[in-house]
Amino acid sequence: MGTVGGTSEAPQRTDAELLAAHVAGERYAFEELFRRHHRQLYRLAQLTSRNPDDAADALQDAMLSAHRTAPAFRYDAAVSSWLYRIVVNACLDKLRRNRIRPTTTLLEDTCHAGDPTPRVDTAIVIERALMRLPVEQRAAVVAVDMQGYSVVETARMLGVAEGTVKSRCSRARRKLAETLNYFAMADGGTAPSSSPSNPP
Amino acid sequence: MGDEHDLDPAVVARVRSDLAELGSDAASAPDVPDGVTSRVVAALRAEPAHTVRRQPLGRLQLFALVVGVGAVVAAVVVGASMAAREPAPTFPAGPTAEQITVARPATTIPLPQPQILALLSQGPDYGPLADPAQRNSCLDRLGYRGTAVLGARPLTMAGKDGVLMLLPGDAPELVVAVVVDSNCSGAHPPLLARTVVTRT
Repeated sequence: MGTVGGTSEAPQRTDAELLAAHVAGERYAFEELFRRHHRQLYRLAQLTSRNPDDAADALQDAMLSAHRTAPAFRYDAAVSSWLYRIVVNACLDKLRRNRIRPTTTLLEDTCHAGDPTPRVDTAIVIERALMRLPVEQRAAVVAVDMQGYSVVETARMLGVAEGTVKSRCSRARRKLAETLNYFAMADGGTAPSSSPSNPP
Repeated sequence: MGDEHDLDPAVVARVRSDLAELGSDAASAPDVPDGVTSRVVAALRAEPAHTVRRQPLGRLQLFALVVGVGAVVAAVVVGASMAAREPAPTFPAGPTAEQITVARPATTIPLPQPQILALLSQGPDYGPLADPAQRNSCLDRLGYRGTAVLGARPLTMAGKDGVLMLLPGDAPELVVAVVVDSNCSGAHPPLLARTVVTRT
């Protein structure tokens, strides 16, 4: 999926090689890089956006920005990390600019996490739990805990006070712990039934 | 709604750890709607490709270019003054500005620092420099005769095959990371990159 040109026997180029090829003028190298990472990039966009339309807009803006600014990349981090950061930046910027819009409603309980049994993909469970959070809390905890931004950086990107970011992260972590039944697991007891607790 | 300060720290740590893992777990990312991918790809294809002329010089490259041009100018001045004093001498072909500029190694290595430091706890993989005699000759050229290599792995940098090697720094907590050309022969400067990292 996603490879443009070349044969199936050709060794796959690294991310750094694709980016260097793109900077050198190779026509479809960046597209190949995007296709290689587009699932994780879209996941991050969804997790830090109000809705799927905003996520798609931010993803496109981010990829165009990366396409244009690639010559300035200094290879001081993994190329994938750089792309993830650009996407999250674009989403947080969109949230900051659209702060006057009403807070998005929580997802309906049809998407609740349920009990994380061994058969359930842990990643999907956590992702669903995240999507139950209000977007402001979700964006803060994705920026700080998933992407490693500092509270100061996150506050600047969201256009809010540092204390606001801290409280959003705290509330998000608490709700995630409740949804994922981490309290019951920490106590060593059995997980409660799958019916969700009252949403906050 | 309470915040995380009254939560079990182990629960908070688990939430944060799971989020961090999700941030890098690309394999578990869900599929992207076709419309989103095709929309981004179309936007990327509409962008003009980078060309060599459009690539802006990085700060290091610009500095190296200034040094190289200055060296050529100095050589011309010296040569002209000598020619004024004696009958035209024959000068050997000196380095060109291009050779001087590309000889300066980069300071950024396309590998995140945690992965560089992880090599300290792994067996070295010398790749194309597996031959001890060739490797020791290479280290000798770099000024590291007899220095123990703390870690190593093959690494491609800016399209060149190389080997990343970790060497002791000037202080116990410092590690020198060098990337050398895989040939490390006498025909070309072997050093592609050099940086110093701090053990965590």
